[in-house]
Amino acid sequence: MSLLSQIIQFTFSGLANGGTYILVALGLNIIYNATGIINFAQGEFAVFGSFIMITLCMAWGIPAPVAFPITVLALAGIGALFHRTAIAPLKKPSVITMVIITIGGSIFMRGVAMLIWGKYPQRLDPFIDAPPIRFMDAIIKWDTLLVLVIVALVVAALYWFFEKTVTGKAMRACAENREAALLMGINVDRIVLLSFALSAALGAVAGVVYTPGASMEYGRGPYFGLRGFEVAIIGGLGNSVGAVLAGILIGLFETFSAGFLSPTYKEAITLALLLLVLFVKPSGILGKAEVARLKDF
Amino acid sequence: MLKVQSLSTNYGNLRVLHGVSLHVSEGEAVALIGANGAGKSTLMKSITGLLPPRKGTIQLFDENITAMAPARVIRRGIALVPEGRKLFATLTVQDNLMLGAYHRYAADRAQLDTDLERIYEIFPRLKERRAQLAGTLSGGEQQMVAVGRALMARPRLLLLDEPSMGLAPTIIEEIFAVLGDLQKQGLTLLLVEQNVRLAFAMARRAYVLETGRVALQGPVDELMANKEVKRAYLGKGYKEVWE
Repeated sequence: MSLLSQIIQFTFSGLANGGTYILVALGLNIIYNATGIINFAQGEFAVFGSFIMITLCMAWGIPAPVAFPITVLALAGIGALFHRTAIAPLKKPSVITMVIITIGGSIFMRGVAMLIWGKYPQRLDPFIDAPPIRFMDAIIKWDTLLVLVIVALVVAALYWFFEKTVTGKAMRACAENREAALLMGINVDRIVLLSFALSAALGAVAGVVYTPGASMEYGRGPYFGLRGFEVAIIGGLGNSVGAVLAGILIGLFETFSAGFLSPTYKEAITLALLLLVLFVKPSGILGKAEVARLKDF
Repeated sequence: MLKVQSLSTNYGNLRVLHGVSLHVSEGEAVALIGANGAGKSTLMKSITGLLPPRKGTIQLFDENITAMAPARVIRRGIALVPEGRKLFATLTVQDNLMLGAYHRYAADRAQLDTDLERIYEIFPRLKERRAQLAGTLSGGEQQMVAVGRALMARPRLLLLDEPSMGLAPTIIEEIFAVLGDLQKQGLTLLLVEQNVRLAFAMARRAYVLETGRVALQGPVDELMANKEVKRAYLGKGYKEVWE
Protein backbone atom coordinates (compact mmCIF):
# COMPACT_ATOMS: atom_id res chain seq x y z
CA MET A 1 0.00 0.00 0.00
CA SER A 2 1.48 3.30 -1.02
CA LEU A 3 1.61 6.28 1.28
CA LEU A 4 -1.06 8.08 -0.73
CA SER A 5 -3.51 5.21 -0.58
CA GLN A 6 -2.88 4.94 3.16
CA ILE A 7 -3.67 8.61 3.52
CA ILE A 8 -6.91 8.17 1.60
CA GLN A 9 -7.80 5.14 3.69
CA PHE A 10 -7.16 6.89 6.98
CA THR A 11 -8.95 10.01 5.89
CA PHE A 12 -12.18 8.17 5.20
CA SER A 13 -12.19 6.07 8.35
CA GLY A 14 -11.15 9.13 10.35
CA LEU A 15 -14.02 11.17 8.95
CA ALA A 16 -16.50 8.39 9.69
CA ASN A 17 -15.32 8.10 13.30
CA GLY A 18 -15.27 11.87 13.62
CA GLY A 19 -18.84 11.98 12.34
CA THR A 20 -19.98 9.76 15.21
CA TYR A 21 -18.19 11.94 17.72
CA ILE A 22 -19.71 15.07 16.21
CA LEU A 23 -23.21 13.70 16.79
CA VAL A 24 -22.46 12.84 20.42
CA ALA A 25 -20.82 16.24 20.96
CA LEU A 26 -23.78 18.10 19.42
CA GLY A 27 -26.07 16.23 21.79
CA LEU A 28 -23.90 17.29 24.72
CA ASN A 29 -23.93 20.90 23.50
CA ILE A 30 -27.70 21.04 23.16
CA ILE A 31 -28.27 19.95 26.77
CA TYR A 32 -25.41 22.13 27.96
CA ASN A 33 -26.90 25.18 26.27
CA ALA A 34 -30.35 24.54 27.67
CA THR A 35 -29.38 23.68 31.25
CA GLY A 36 -25.68 24.41 31.78
CA ILE A 37 -24.92 20.78 32.63
CA ILE A 38 -22.78 18.11 30.97
CA ASN A 39 -24.94 15.05 30.44
CA PHE A 40 -22.74 12.09 31.32
CA ALA A 41 -25.42 9.69 30.10
CA GLN A 42 -24.97 10.91 26.51
CA GLY A 43 -22.83 7.88 25.58
CA GLU A 44 -25.51 5.54 26.92
CA PHE A 45 -28.02 7.12 24.54
CA ALA A 46 -25.73 6.00 21.71
CA VAL A 47 -25.48 2.47 23.14
CA PHE A 48 -29.25 2.21 23.51
CA GLY A 49 -29.73 3.49 19.97
CA SER A 50 -27.35 0.90 18.66
CA PHE A 51 -28.93 -1.99 20.62
CA ILE A 52 -32.48 -1.05 19.69
CA MET A 53 -31.40 -0.94 16.04
CA ILE A 54 -29.72 -4.34 16.41
CA THR A 55 -32.86 -5.85 17.95
CA LEU A 56 -35.11 -4.37 15.28
CA CYS A 57 -32.91 -5.39 12.34
CA MET A 58 -31.29 -8.65 13.46
CA ALA A 59 -33.89 -10.22 15.76
CA TRP A 60 -37.11 -8.89 14.25
CA GLY A 61 -35.93 -8.64 10.66
CA ILE A 62 -37.19 -5.10 10.10
CA PRO A 63 -35.36 -3.45 7.17
CA ALA A 64 -32.81 -0.82 8.22
CA PRO A 65 -34.46 2.22 6.54
CA VAL A 66 -37.60 1.54 8.62
CA ALA A 67 -35.80 0.53 11.81
CA PHE A 68 -33.61 3.66 11.79
CA PRO A 69 -36.36 6.26 12.30
CA ILE A 70 -38.10 3.99 14.85
CA THR A 71 -34.85 3.81 16.82
CA VAL A 72 -34.37 7.56 16.72
CA LEU A 73 -37.93 8.18 17.91
CA ALA A 74 -37.56 5.57 20.65
CA LEU A 75 -34.47 7.32 21.96
CA ALA A 76 -36.17 10.71 21.80
CA GLY A 77 -38.79 9.15 24.09
CA ILE A 78 -36.11 7.74 26.40
CA GLY A 79 -34.41 11.14 26.53
CA ALA A 80 -37.70 12.83 27.43
CA LEU A 81 -38.37 10.17 30.08
CA PHE A 82 -34.88 10.68 31.48
CA HIS A 83 -35.59 14.39 31.87
CA ARG A 84 -39.03 13.89 33.39
CA THR A 85 -37.98 11.25 35.91
CA ALA A 86 -34.42 12.25 36.81
CA ILE A 87 -33.96 15.97 36.14
CA ALA A 88 -37.36 17.69 36.23
CA PRO A 89 -38.46 16.61 39.75
CA LEU A 90 -35.56 18.53 41.31
CA LYS A 91 -36.53 21.88 42.73
CA LYS A 92 -33.78 24.44 42.28
CA PRO A 93 -31.04 21.90 41.61
CA SER A 94 -27.42 22.97 41.66
CA VAL A 95 -25.35 22.21 38.60
CA ILE A 96 -23.21 19.69 40.46
CA THR A 97 -26.31 17.80 41.67
CA MET A 98 -27.59 17.53 38.12
CA VAL A 99 -24.21 16.37 36.85
CA ILE A 100 -24.08 13.64 39.48
CA ILE A 101 -27.62 12.61 38.55
CA THR A 102 -26.57 12.19 34.93
CA ILE A 103 -23.67 10.01 36.08
CA GLY A 104 -26.14 7.94 38.09
CA GLY A 105 -28.39 7.81 35.04
CA SER A 106 -25.55 6.51 32.90
CA ILE A 107 -24.75 3.72 35.40
CA PHE A 108 -28.43 2.81 35.57
CA MET A 109 -28.79 2.72 31.77
CA ARG A 110 -25.65 0.60 31.49
CA GLY A 111 -27.16 -1.90 33.93
CA VAL A 112 -30.44 -1.95 32.02
CA ALA A 113 -28.58 -2.51 28.74
CA MET A 114 -26.67 -5.42 30.29
CA LEU A 115 -29.91 -7.01 31.56
CA ILE A 116 -31.71 -6.67 28.25
CA TRP A 117 -28.96 -7.32 25.72
CA GLY A 118 -26.46 -9.35 27.75
CA LYS A 119 -22.76 -9.02 28.32
CA TYR A 120 -21.48 -10.11 24.93
CA PRO A 121 -20.87 -7.89 21.93
CA GLN A 122 -23.58 -7.92 19.30
CA ARG A 123 -23.22 -7.21 15.65
CA LEU A 124 -25.26 -5.48 12.99
CA ASP A 125 -25.23 -6.35 9.29
CA PRO A 126 -23.82 -3.66 7.00
CA PHE A 127 -26.47 -1.29 5.64
CA ILE A 128 -25.19 -1.53 2.08
CA ASP A 129 -24.08 -5.04 1.29
CA ALA A 130 -22.00 -4.36 -1.80
CA PRO A 131 -18.34 -4.89 -2.55
CA PRO A 132 -16.30 -1.91 -1.27
CA ILE A 133 -15.00 0.77 -3.57
CA ARG A 134 -11.35 0.41 -4.49
CA PHE A 135 -9.68 3.69 -5.13
CA MET A 136 -5.90 3.85 -5.56
CA ASP A 137 -5.48 0.70 -3.46
CA ALA A 138 -7.54 2.16 -0.63
CA ILE A 139 -10.67 0.22 0.32
CA ILE A 140 -13.66 2.33 1.15
CA LYS A 141 -16.79 0.65 2.45
CA TRP A 142 -20.15 1.90 1.24
CA ASP A 143 -21.26 2.21 4.84
CA THR A 144 -18.45 4.67 5.51
CA LEU A 145 -19.80 6.92 2.77
CA LEU A 146 -23.32 6.45 4.11
CA VAL A 147 -22.17 7.55 7.58
CA LEU A 148 -20.68 10.71 6.11
CA VAL A 149 -23.90 11.48 4.24
CA ILE A 150 -26.09 10.85 7.29
CA VAL A 151 -23.90 13.01 9.55
CA ALA A 152 -23.89 15.81 6.97
CA LEU A 153 -27.68 15.63 6.67
CA VAL A 154 -28.18 15.65 10.44
CA VAL A 155 -25.87 18.63 10.87
CA ALA A 156 -27.69 20.48 8.06
CA ALA A 157 -31.07 19.65 9.64
CA LEU A 158 -29.90 20.94 13.02
CA TYR A 159 -28.63 24.12 11.40
CA TRP A 160 -32.02 24.61 9.77
CA PHE A 161 -33.81 23.89 13.04
CA PHE A 162 -31.82 26.39 15.11
CA GLU A 163 -31.58 29.11 12.45
CA LYS A 164 -34.91 28.96 10.69
CA THR A 165 -37.63 27.60 12.95
CA VAL A 166 -39.27 29.52 15.76
CA THR A 167 -38.93 26.57 18.15
CA GLY A 168 -35.20 26.39 17.42
CA LYS A 169 -34.86 30.10 18.02
CA ALA A 170 -36.87 29.82 21.24
CA MET A 171 -34.45 27.11 22.33
CA ARG A 172 -31.49 29.40 21.66
CA ALA A 173 -33.31 32.20 23.47
CA CYS A 174 -33.66 29.97 26.56
CA ALA A 175 -29.97 29.18 26.43
CA GLU A 176 -29.15 32.84 26.13
CA ASN A 177 -31.41 34.38 28.74
CA ARG A 178 -33.82 32.24 30.68
CA GLU A 179 -35.67 35.10 32.33
CA ALA A 180 -36.23 37.00 29.10
CA ALA A 181 -37.37 33.77 27.44
CA LEU A 182 -39.96 33.32 30.19
CA LEU A 183 -41.15 36.89 29.62
CA MET A 184 -41.70 36.12 25.93
CA GLY A 185 -44.09 33.39 27.01
CA ILE A 186 -41.69 30.59 26.13
CA ASN A 187 -42.29 27.50 28.25
CA VAL A 188 -38.70 26.97 29.36
CA ASP A 189 -39.42 23.64 31.05
CA ARG A 190 -40.83 22.24 27.82
CA ILE A 191 -37.83 23.55 25.88
CA VAL A 192 -35.47 21.73 28.27
CA LEU A 193 -37.53 18.56 27.82
CA LEU A 194 -37.24 18.99 24.08
CA SER A 195 -33.48 19.46 24.35
CA PHE A 196 -33.16 16.13 26.18
CA ALA A 197 -35.28 14.37 23.56
CA LEU A 198 -33.33 15.92 20.70
CA SER A 199 -30.02 15.15 22.30
CA ALA A 200 -30.94 11.50 22.93
CA ALA A 201 -32.12 11.22 19.32
CA LEU A 202 -28.73 12.51 18.16
CA GLY A 203 -27.07 9.95 20.41
CA ALA A 204 -29.17 7.26 18.75
CA VAL A 205 -28.02 8.33 15.30
CA ALA A 206 -24.42 8.20 16.52
CA GLY A 207 -24.85 4.69 17.90
CA VAL A 208 -26.61 3.43 14.80
CA VAL A 209 -24.07 4.72 12.28
CA TYR A 210 -21.20 3.44 14.40
CA THR A 211 -22.38 -0.16 14.68
CA PRO A 212 -22.38 -1.83 11.22
CA GLY A 213 -19.02 -3.37 10.64
CA ALA A 214 -18.14 -2.84 14.30
CA SER A 215 -20.08 -4.32 17.18
CA MET A 216 -21.81 -3.00 20.28
CA GLU A 217 -21.60 -4.03 23.90
CA TYR A 218 -23.32 -2.66 26.98
CA GLY A 219 -20.21 -0.99 28.43
CA ARG A 220 -19.35 1.14 25.38
CA GLY A 221 -21.22 4.23 26.60
CA PRO A 222 -18.32 5.94 28.41
CA TYR A 223 -16.22 5.58 25.25
CA PHE A 224 -18.79 7.55 23.23
CA GLY A 225 -19.32 9.94 26.09
CA LEU A 226 -15.61 10.63 26.49
CA ARG A 227 -14.97 11.12 22.78
CA GLY A 228 -18.01 13.36 22.45
CA PHE A 229 -16.87 15.31 25.50
CA GLU A 230 -13.39 15.77 24.05
CA VAL A 231 -14.86 17.02 20.80
CA ALA A 232 -17.28 19.36 22.57
CA ILE A 233 -14.49 20.79 24.74
CA ILE A 234 -12.00 21.20 21.91
CA GLY A 235 -14.65 22.86 19.75
CA GLY A 236 -15.69 25.15 22.61
CA LEU A 237 -18.48 23.96 24.88
CA GLY A 238 -21.88 24.83 23.47
CA ASN A 239 -20.50 25.83 20.07
CA SER A 240 -21.91 23.67 17.27
CA VAL A 241 -19.64 24.84 14.48
CA GLY A 242 -16.69 24.22 16.80
CA ALA A 243 -17.97 20.71 17.52
CA VAL A 244 -18.13 19.87 13.82
CA LEU A 245 -14.59 21.12 13.21
CA ALA A 246 -13.24 19.44 16.34
CA GLY A 247 -14.98 16.17 15.45
CA ILE A 248 -13.31 16.08 12.05
CA LEU A 249 -10.00 16.98 13.67
CA ILE A 250 -10.20 14.33 16.40
CA GLY A 251 -11.42 11.64 14.00
CA LEU A 252 -8.57 12.26 11.58
CA PHE A 253 -6.03 12.66 14.36
CA GLU A 254 -7.11 9.38 15.89
CA THR A 255 -6.86 7.25 12.74
CA PHE A 256 -3.68 8.90 11.53
CA SER A 257 -1.94 8.48 14.86
CA ALA A 258 -3.17 4.87 15.07
CA GLY A 259 -1.99 4.18 11.53
CA PHE A 260 1.33 5.96 11.50
CA LEU A 261 2.36 5.93 15.16
CA SER A 262 0.78 3.22 17.26
CA PRO A 263 -2.73 1.78 17.52
CA THR A 264 -2.09 1.00 21.20
CA TYR A 265 -1.54 4.60 22.14
CA LYS A 266 -4.21 6.27 20.00
CA GLU A 267 -6.35 7.03 23.06
CA ALA A 268 -3.42 8.59 24.87
CA ILE A 269 -2.47 10.61 21.83
CA THR A 270 -5.98 12.03 21.37
CA LEU A 271 -6.22 12.88 25.05
CA ALA A 272 -2.84 14.61 24.76
CA LEU A 273 -4.37 16.74 21.99
CA LEU A 274 -7.22 17.64 24.34
CA LEU A 275 -4.76 18.65 27.04
CA LEU A 276 -2.78 20.71 24.56
CA VAL A 277 -5.91 22.62 23.51
CA LEU A 278 -6.87 23.15 27.14
CA PHE A 279 -3.43 24.54 27.94
CA VAL A 280 -3.27 26.85 24.94
CA LYS A 281 -6.90 27.91 24.64
CA PRO A 282 -9.04 26.67 27.54
CA SER A 283 -12.28 27.85 25.98
CA GLY A 284 -11.79 25.62 22.91
CA ILE A 285 -10.90 26.48 19.34
CA LEU A 286 -14.09 28.43 18.68
CA GLY A 287 -15.26 28.98 22.24
CA LYS A 288 -15.50 32.42 23.73
CA ALA A 289 -13.95 33.03 27.12
CA GLU A 290 -16.98 35.07 28.22
CA VAL A 291 -19.32 32.19 27.45
CA ALA A 292 -17.22 29.89 29.61
CA ARG A 293 -17.38 32.39 32.46
CA LEU A 294 -21.10 32.99 32.18
CA LYS A 295 -22.00 29.36 32.73
CA ASP A 296 -22.33 27.96 36.20
CA PHE A 297 -19.14 25.97 36.23
CA MET B 1 -57.14 47.87 34.63
CA LEU B 2 -54.34 46.65 36.90
CA LYS B 3 -54.94 46.47 40.62
CA VAL B 4 -52.22 45.37 43.02
CA GLN B 5 -53.33 44.88 46.61
CA SER B 6 -51.11 44.53 49.69
CA LEU B 7 -48.48 42.62 47.78
CA SER B 8 -45.57 41.06 49.68
CA THR B 9 -42.74 39.38 47.82
CA ASN B 10 -39.59 37.68 49.01
CA TYR B 11 -36.25 37.32 47.35
CA GLY B 12 -35.20 34.03 48.86
CA ASN B 13 -35.75 34.61 52.57
CA LEU B 14 -35.49 38.36 52.32
CA ARG B 15 -38.80 40.21 52.22
CA VAL B 16 -38.48 42.95 49.59
CA LEU B 17 -42.05 44.15 49.21
CA HIS B 18 -44.17 44.83 52.28
CA GLY B 19 -47.80 45.14 51.34
CA VAL B 20 -47.61 47.31 48.22
CA SER B 21 -50.88 48.50 46.71
CA LEU B 22 -51.31 50.41 43.50
CA HIS B 23 -53.58 50.63 40.51
CA VAL B 24 -53.31 51.64 36.87
CA SER B 25 -56.38 52.64 34.89
CA GLU B 26 -56.83 52.00 31.21
CA GLY B 27 -55.00 54.45 28.95
CA GLU B 28 -53.09 55.95 31.84
CA ALA B 29 -49.34 56.42 32.24
CA VAL B 30 -48.24 55.82 35.81
CA ALA B 31 -44.73 56.32 37.14
CA LEU B 32 -43.12 54.32 39.88
CA ILE B 33 -40.08 55.96 41.40
CA GLY B 34 -37.76 55.12 44.24
CA ALA B 35 -34.14 54.63 45.17
CA ASN B 36 -32.04 51.56 44.45
CA GLY B 37 -33.29 48.57 46.38
CA ALA B 38 -36.73 50.05 47.00
CA GLY B 39 -38.30 47.03 45.31
CA LYS B 40 -39.33 48.50 41.96
CA SER B 41 -37.91 45.69 39.84
CA THR B 42 -39.21 43.09 42.29
CA LEU B 43 -42.69 44.53 41.84
CA MET B 44 -42.33 44.24 38.05
CA LYS B 45 -41.23 40.62 38.43
CA SER B 46 -44.15 39.87 40.72
CA ILE B 47 -46.67 41.30 38.28
CA THR B 48 -45.26 39.37 35.32
CA GLY B 49 -45.07 36.11 37.26
CA LEU B 50 -41.28 35.79 37.29
CA LEU B 51 -41.24 36.10 41.08
CA PRO B 52 -44.52 34.90 42.58
CA PRO B 53 -45.61 37.00 45.59
CA ARG B 54 -46.03 35.53 49.07
CA LYS B 55 -49.11 37.57 49.97
CA GLY B 56 -51.57 39.90 48.33
CA THR B 57 -53.36 39.88 44.99
CA ILE B 58 -52.78 41.15 41.47
CA GLN B 59 -55.83 41.75 39.32
CA LEU B 60 -56.00 42.50 35.63
CA PHE B 61 -59.48 43.79 34.81
CA ASP B 62 -61.64 41.30 36.70
CA GLU B 63 -59.23 38.41 36.61
CA ASN B 64 -56.96 37.36 39.43
CA ILE B 65 -53.50 36.88 37.93
CA THR B 66 -51.58 36.50 41.21
CA ALA B 67 -48.66 34.08 40.84
CA MET B 68 -49.71 33.15 37.32
CA ALA B 69 -46.91 31.73 35.13
CA PRO B 70 -45.22 34.36 32.90
CA ALA B 71 -46.39 32.58 29.75
CA ARG B 72 -50.00 33.04 30.83
CA VAL B 73 -49.55 36.62 32.01
CA ILE B 74 -48.21 37.71 28.63
CA ARG B 75 -51.21 36.09 26.92
CA ARG B 76 -53.44 38.32 29.02
CA GLY B 77 -51.74 41.40 27.63
CA ILE B 78 -48.99 42.43 30.03
CA ALA B 79 -45.50 42.80 28.54
CA LEU B 80 -42.37 43.89 30.38
CA VAL B 81 -39.33 45.70 29.04
CA PRO B 82 -36.93 44.32 31.63
CA GLU B 83 -34.21 46.17 33.44
CA GLY B 84 -30.92 45.94 31.54
CA ARG B 85 -32.84 45.04 28.34
CA LYS B 86 -32.09 41.30 28.50
CA LEU B 87 -31.90 40.81 24.74
CA PHE B 88 -31.00 37.54 23.09
CA ALA B 89 -27.54 38.76 22.16
CA THR B 90 -26.58 36.01 19.69
CA LEU B 91 -29.85 36.26 17.76
CA THR B 92 -30.53 38.86 15.07
CA VAL B 93 -32.57 41.99 15.73
CA GLN B 94 -35.43 40.59 13.68
CA ASP B 95 -35.38 37.26 15.55
CA ASN B 96 -35.47 39.13 18.86
CA LEU B 97 -38.51 41.08 17.69
CA MET B 98 -40.20 37.95 16.37
CA LEU B 99 -39.67 36.12 19.66
CA GLY B 100 -41.57 38.96 21.30
CA ALA B 101 -44.61 37.59 19.49
CA TYR B 102 -43.81 34.00 20.47
CA HIS B 103 -46.96 33.50 22.51
CA ARG B 104 -49.18 34.31 19.53
CA TYR B 105 -46.91 32.93 16.83
CA ALA B 106 -49.07 29.98 15.82
CA ALA B 107 -52.42 31.75 16.09
CA ASP B 108 -51.50 35.07 14.53
CA ARG B 109 -48.87 34.23 11.95
CA ALA B 110 -50.37 36.23 9.10
CA GLN B 111 -50.43 39.34 11.26
CA LEU B 112 -46.78 39.18 12.34
CA ASP B 113 -45.17 40.72 9.27
CA THR B 114 -47.47 43.74 9.48
CA ASP B 115 -46.67 44.11 13.17
CA LEU B 116 -42.97 43.84 12.45
CA GLU B 117 -43.28 46.54 9.78
CA ARG B 118 -44.99 48.74 12.37
CA ILE B 119 -42.08 48.32 14.79
CA TYR B 120 -39.69 49.23 11.97
CA GLU B 121 -41.78 52.35 11.30
CA ILE B 122 -41.53 53.32 14.95
CA PHE B 123 -37.79 52.62 15.08
CA PRO B 124 -36.46 52.99 11.51
CA ARG B 125 -32.94 52.33 12.74
CA LEU B 126 -33.86 48.77 13.64
CA LYS B 127 -34.88 48.09 10.07
CA GLU B 128 -31.37 48.94 8.89
CA ARG B 129 -29.97 46.63 11.53
CA ARG B 130 -32.52 43.82 11.24
CA ALA B 131 -29.95 41.18 10.23
CA GLN B 132 -27.35 42.22 12.80
CA LEU B 133 -26.86 40.29 16.04
CA ALA B 134 -28.59 42.12 18.89
CA GLY B 135 -25.47 41.95 21.06
CA THR B 136 -23.51 44.06 18.57
CA LEU B 137 -25.84 47.08 18.75
CA SER B 138 -25.26 50.25 20.74
CA GLY B 139 -27.04 50.63 24.09
CA GLY B 140 -29.72 52.90 22.66
CA GLU B 141 -30.46 50.58 19.77
CA GLN B 142 -30.63 47.65 22.16
CA GLN B 143 -33.21 49.50 24.22
CA MET B 144 -35.20 50.09 21.03
CA VAL B 145 -35.09 46.35 20.35
CA ALA B 146 -36.24 45.66 23.92
CA VAL B 147 -39.19 48.04 23.57
CA GLY B 148 -39.97 46.72 20.08
CA ARG B 149 -39.82 43.15 21.30
CA ALA B 150 -42.31 43.91 24.07
CA LEU B 151 -44.61 45.71 21.62
CA MET B 152 -44.58 42.66 19.33
CA ALA B 153 -46.51 40.91 22.10
CA ARG B 154 -49.33 43.42 21.44
CA PRO B 155 -49.68 44.30 25.09
CA ARG B 156 -52.57 46.23 26.60
CA LEU B 157 -50.35 47.17 29.53
CA LEU B 158 -46.66 47.84 28.98
CA LEU B 159 -44.34 47.71 31.97
CA LEU B 160 -41.01 49.45 31.56
CA ASP B 161 -38.19 48.88 34.02
CA GLU B 162 -35.71 51.77 33.83
CA PRO B 163 -35.73 52.26 30.07
CA SER B 164 -33.41 55.27 30.31
CA MET B 165 -30.66 53.51 32.24
CA GLY B 166 -27.20 54.07 30.80
CA LEU B 167 -28.40 55.84 27.65
CA ALA B 168 -27.35 59.12 26.03
CA PRO B 169 -29.82 62.01 26.48
CA THR B 170 -30.72 62.23 22.78
CA ILE B 171 -31.57 58.52 22.67
CA ILE B 172 -33.64 58.84 25.84
CA GLU B 173 -35.57 61.66 24.23
CA GLU B 174 -36.21 59.55 21.15
CA ILE B 175 -37.43 56.55 23.11
CA PHE B 176 -39.64 58.61 25.41
CA ALA B 177 -41.15 60.41 22.44
CA VAL B 178 -42.13 57.00 21.07
CA LEU B 179 -43.58 55.95 24.42
CA GLY B 180 -45.56 59.19 24.59
CA ASP B 181 -47.03 58.56 21.13
CA LEU B 182 -47.96 55.01 22.05
CA GLN B 183 -49.70 56.22 25.17
CA LYS B 184 -51.69 58.75 23.14
CA GLN B 185 -52.74 55.87 20.90
CA GLY B 186 -54.22 54.13 23.93
CA LEU B 187 -51.44 51.98 25.38
CA THR B 188 -51.39 51.84 29.16
CA LEU B 189 -47.96 52.36 30.72
CA LEU B 190 -46.43 51.59 34.08
CA LEU B 191 -43.02 53.19 34.09
CA VAL B 192 -40.28 52.50 36.59
CA GLU B 193 -37.66 55.24 36.52
CA GLN B 194 -34.78 56.57 38.53
CA ASN B 195 -34.79 59.65 36.36
CA VAL B 196 -37.71 61.32 38.09
CA ARG B 197 -37.94 64.39 35.85
CA LEU B 198 -38.34 62.13 32.88
CA ALA B 199 -40.93 59.97 34.58
CA PHE B 200 -42.95 62.97 35.76
CA ALA B 201 -42.93 64.52 32.31
CA MET B 202 -44.51 61.35 30.97
CA ALA B 203 -46.96 60.30 33.68
CA ARG B 204 -49.95 61.95 35.26
CA ARG B 205 -49.85 59.95 38.47
CA ALA B 206 -46.95 58.45 40.39
CA TYR B 207 -46.08 56.22 43.30
CA VAL B 208 -42.95 56.61 45.41
CA LEU B 209 -41.61 53.33 46.69
CA GLU B 210 -39.33 53.27 49.72
CA THR B 211 -37.86 50.06 51.19
CA GLY B 212 -40.68 47.95 49.86
CA ARG B 213 -43.59 50.23 50.84
CA VAL B 214 -45.53 52.91 49.00
CA ALA B 215 -44.34 56.03 50.78
CA LEU B 216 -46.20 58.60 48.70
CA GLN B 217 -48.68 58.62 45.86
CA GLY B 218 -50.74 61.06 43.90
CA PRO B 219 -50.88 63.28 40.83
CA VAL B 220 -47.48 64.25 39.52
CA ASP B 221 -48.00 68.00 40.13
CA GLU B 222 -48.71 67.37 43.79
CA LEU B 223 -45.70 65.13 44.20
CA MET B 224 -43.46 67.67 42.51
CA ALA B 225 -44.47 70.20 45.12
CA ASN B 226 -43.75 67.76 47.94
CA LYS B 227 -40.69 68.70 49.99
CA GLU B 228 -39.46 65.15 50.43
CA VAL B 229 -39.74 64.35 46.75
CA LYS B 230 -38.00 67.57 45.87
CA ARG B 231 -35.13 66.86 48.18
CA ALA B 232 -34.65 63.17 47.60
CA TYR B 233 -35.50 62.76 43.94
CA LEU B 234 -35.36 66.09 42.21
CA GLY B 235 -32.24 67.39 43.94
CA LYS B 236 -33.93 70.72 44.51
CA GLY B 237 -34.42 72.96 47.46
CA TYR B 238 -31.66 71.81 49.73
CA LYS B 239 -31.64 75.26 51.28
CA GLU B 240 -35.36 75.36 51.87
CA VAL B 241 -35.37 71.94 53.42
CA TRP B 242 -32.26 72.08 55.51
CA GLU B 243 -32.24 75.64 56.76
